[in-house]
Amino acid sequence: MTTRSAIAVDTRTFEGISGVFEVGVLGMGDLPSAHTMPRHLIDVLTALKQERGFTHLSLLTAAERPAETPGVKMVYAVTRRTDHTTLMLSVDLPEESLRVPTIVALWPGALPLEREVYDLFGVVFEGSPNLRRIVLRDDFAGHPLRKGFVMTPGGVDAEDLAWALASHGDDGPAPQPENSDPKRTVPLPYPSVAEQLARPGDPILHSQRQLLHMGPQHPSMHGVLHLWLALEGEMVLASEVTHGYLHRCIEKLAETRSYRACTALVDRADYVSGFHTELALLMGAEELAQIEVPPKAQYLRVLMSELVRLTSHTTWFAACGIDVGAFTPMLFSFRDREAILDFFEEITGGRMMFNYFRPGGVKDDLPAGCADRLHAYLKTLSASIDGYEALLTTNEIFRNRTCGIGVISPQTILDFGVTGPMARASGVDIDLRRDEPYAAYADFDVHVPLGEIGDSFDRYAVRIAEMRESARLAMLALEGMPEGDFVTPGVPRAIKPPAGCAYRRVESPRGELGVYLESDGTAQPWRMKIRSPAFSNLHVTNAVLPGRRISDIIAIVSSVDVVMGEIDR
Amino acid sequence: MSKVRVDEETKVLIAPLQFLMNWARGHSMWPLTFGTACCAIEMMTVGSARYDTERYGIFFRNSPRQADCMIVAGTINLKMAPRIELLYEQMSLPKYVIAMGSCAVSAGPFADGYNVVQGVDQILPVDIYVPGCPPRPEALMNALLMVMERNSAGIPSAAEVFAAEQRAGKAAL
Repeated sequence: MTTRSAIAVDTRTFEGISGVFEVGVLGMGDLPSAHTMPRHLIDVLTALKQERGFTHLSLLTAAERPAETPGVKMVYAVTRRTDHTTLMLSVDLPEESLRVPTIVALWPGALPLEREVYDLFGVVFEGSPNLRRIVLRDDFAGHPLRKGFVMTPGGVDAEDLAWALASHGDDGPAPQPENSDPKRTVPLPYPSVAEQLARPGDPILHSQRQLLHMGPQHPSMHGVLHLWLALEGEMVLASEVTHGYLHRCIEKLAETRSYRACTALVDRADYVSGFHTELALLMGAEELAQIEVPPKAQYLRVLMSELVRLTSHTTWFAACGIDVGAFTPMLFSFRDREAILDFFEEITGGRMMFNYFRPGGVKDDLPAGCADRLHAYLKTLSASIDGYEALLTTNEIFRNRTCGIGVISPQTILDFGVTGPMARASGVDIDLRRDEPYAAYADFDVHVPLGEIGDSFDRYAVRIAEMRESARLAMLALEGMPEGDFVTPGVPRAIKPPAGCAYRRVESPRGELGVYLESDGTAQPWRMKIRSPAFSNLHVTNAVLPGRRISDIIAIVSSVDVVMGEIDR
Repeated sequence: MSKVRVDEETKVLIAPLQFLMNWARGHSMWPLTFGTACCAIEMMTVGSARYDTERYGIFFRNSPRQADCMIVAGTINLKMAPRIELLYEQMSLPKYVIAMGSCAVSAGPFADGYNVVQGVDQILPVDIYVPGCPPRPEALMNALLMVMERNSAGIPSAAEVFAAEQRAGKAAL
């Protein structure tokens, strides 16, 4: 954790950049922060990225401003990987001019994030090549995360449903930049589906180009993912990810619930690794409310995070096998998943929806004898993982389907904000557990497996290595479990943090999972935003799929490890 | 059952065709793999080694045209609603719908949301409701076995009841 003296050093990073003011006084806790104007935004971010080395765009979101100054506040967070510094930058937009320049030219991965802000807040990004709704239907009226958009109790009524059933509600892959000046539009960072379809096919082969919808109901789409593909024969010319079929209003609903009730909601965001989202949310809330967490609770949080990483990776392993035509791996990996879920049920009471982390600690201690049985089980896990590898690692068909397929360069990883095992498979050495230790990770020596070329097989190999590492860390957490309280006594049920913002990140099985919290001093968050790693990881496929064949799509998308609940929220 | 007999001379089982069809269907229920959210993971679990639904003839299919039963495992929102209707229409009769989990039953924890359909029965006729968030795999297996029992017994599905009511001009969803 950054100390107060370090903040003084960090805020100096802004020195010499014009257009930055109110440095370090935005109530961002221990993160250095500053404020700028829309007209300076591009200059400030360019200077930070190119001169100061802040190459990773961690967060791009918005929040409603207080009622006395109506409008929207844009929030950006950029990270420097060399010393793991994160800066927050905010831009105030008054109600009468909700416009800000797009930063797609700096970070192509900002495009879907900006579309999300446009969708939910109605902020217009000037110069964006594809400014359309991303999670809601194209014909949805209003921008739901504005405070002026009031949810009706009882939700969607019969009239709304009849309207929704009358049409599909999406306008296809045609680029329709809204209110943008064509001269100032930034080019799309990957081939455009509409543009590719408009061109004629190969004159020698007399082939025709066609649009293919893959999903939202497709056995290999890992939930309700939808791809628009421009094809010529079997070649993919362009692809565009469409999602939103699982948008469940989690961020808006969080604004009506107490922090403790929010953990139940965010469990369902990333539903295969609920503990990580719970942890990121509570780390933010605890920072805002200045709540201490006892060491035993920190160890229990590490233990649970690693166990849930194992269940997440086993689920991925099952899907990864099925996608390339191997059903047997699922039978093996779900056997281990079930064994861990039994421990979860014993400890937390739930198999998937835990609601176990609480402000100031965890809900309960480990039951009697559980630690020994868990430790004994984890010792056997290494042999199980050897079994997984025997099924796929040396399987010729699997290797042919994945080796050299979907290679992602370290530069693309950085451009699109890809994190987690996908980034590590491309040789990008990042892991928040080691780089910015949270909970009790500072006590552990986390080994970070890396890939070499960044193809689908490397992503597979990195996750397999991570499973072994997680089992090792979980055993270490059990062995080193300190004595003492599992929760800070006296933390009220409904905490009321003072006004301020917090941005806390954890390393989820998919990468950098952050929760941006804003409090207005009441018991409910003013804004809760989940920085979803799978969201950024998924959108990189738009750049990777073109040039591949149809059968490779599955091998590439399955190696992303998509969880739609977390992407759509 | 009395209509079913074995012909003594030829040793051939003689039964009404409808009975035989129901018997066969009731022992080979093919659900559609239609998972949208968290419940889909528990639906996968049902097909895995510990629960192993294939021993009952329950075998997940990827195409609605080959499926007898749609397990709606997860939240349905306004963007998904027209798609789920389309999938349902592609299934051939007799077809069954299982609403798995609180979201498919009644929108669950997201009931107040601006984008979430208040249960799949607003769109499709539902045969079995499985409460839980998510329901345990045993609960889903119980629902599948109930569908198979109904099928064997020749009890009309919600889809057939709805179609009959529609023909009589009584029902409107």
